[in-house]
Amino acid sequence: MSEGTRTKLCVAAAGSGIGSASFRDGIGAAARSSGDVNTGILDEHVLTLVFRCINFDPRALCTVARVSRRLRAVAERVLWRELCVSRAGGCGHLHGNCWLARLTSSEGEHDDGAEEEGESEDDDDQASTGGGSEDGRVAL
Amino acid sequence: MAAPESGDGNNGAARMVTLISSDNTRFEVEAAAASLSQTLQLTILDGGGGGGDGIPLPNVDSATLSKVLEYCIKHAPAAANGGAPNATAVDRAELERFDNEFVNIDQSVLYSLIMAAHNLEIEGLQSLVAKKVADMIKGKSPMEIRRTLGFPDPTPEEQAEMNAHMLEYGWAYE
Repeated sequence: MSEGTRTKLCVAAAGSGIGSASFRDGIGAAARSSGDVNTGILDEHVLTLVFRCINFDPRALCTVARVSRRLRAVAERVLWRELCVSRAGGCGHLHGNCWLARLTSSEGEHDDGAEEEGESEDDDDQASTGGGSEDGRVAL
Repeated sequence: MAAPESGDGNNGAARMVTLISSDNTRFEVEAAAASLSQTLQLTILDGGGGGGDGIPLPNVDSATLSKVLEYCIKHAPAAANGGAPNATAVDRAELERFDNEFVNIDQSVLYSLIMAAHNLEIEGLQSLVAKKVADMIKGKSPMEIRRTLGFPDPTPEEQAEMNAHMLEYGWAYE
C-alpha cells in the first residue's frame, strides 16, 4: 500500500514536465521532450488545463490560435482534439458512455456471453445478408 | 532549510510532515494542510512524510512549493470544517480576498502553479489559477493577448498569417 502511493506520488511529480503525449494518456505517459521551448503558456498541458476551465470555448480557442505560430500549432495538435473529446458523449474521459471507449473496448464486450451480444450478432447477420453498411463497420 | 509559515509552535497537537522540493529545500508543514493535495494525502495516510525522511517532490521547485503551501495553509481550516457549513460570511470573504491577492503574481509562477496543482491534485488551487490565466485570454483580441503574455510585436509575415487565419475561422468572430 505504502509502495503504491509512493509510486503514484513519484509518477505525479515526474509528470509535471512537458510531454508530447496526449493529455488524456495521463501524466505518467508524458515524456520530457521539448522542455526548452514549450514552457509556460506554450506548454500544451498548461493550455489544456486553462481551456478545460473555460470548457474549451471555441471563440477563445480560435483567438489563441491567431496569437502566434506556436500557439496555433498547439491549438491544432492538442486543443481542438480535446474540445472534440470534451463534447463527445458528454464526458471528457475514455470511459463511461464515451464513443471512443466503446470503440476501443468492443473486443472485450464480444467475449462476454450476454443476451445483448446475441441480439447484436443477429444484427450483424442481417447486415451481412441485407447489405447494411453501418453494422458492418461496427463489426470491423 | 526553509520553512514556510507553519502557524504556532504547538508541535504536540498537529502532526507535521516534511516536503522536499526539486532543489532539495525542505518544507515542514502541518499534515492537515498538506492533505489538501489528494496525492500527498495518500502518502500521509500511509504514515509517510514524518520524521527525517520527508516526501520528495522532484518536479516542484521551492518557489512554486512555497506558494502551494501558502494556499494550503490558508485553506486547510475551511477544508477541515467540510467547506461552507460552518464558515461565516466573514471567513468566506477573507478567503476570497486572499485568493484574489494570491494570484496577482508573475506569469511564470502562475504556469508552474497550474502544473503543480494538477500533479498534486489540489482542485481548488488548480481551478483558481486556471481561471486567472483564462481571464488573461478570454474576450481579448490576439494583439491584446500578445501584449498580456509579453510576446513581441508580430512580424509582417506573422501578421499576414493572423489575417489568413481570421478568414479561415471567420465563423468564430461573427
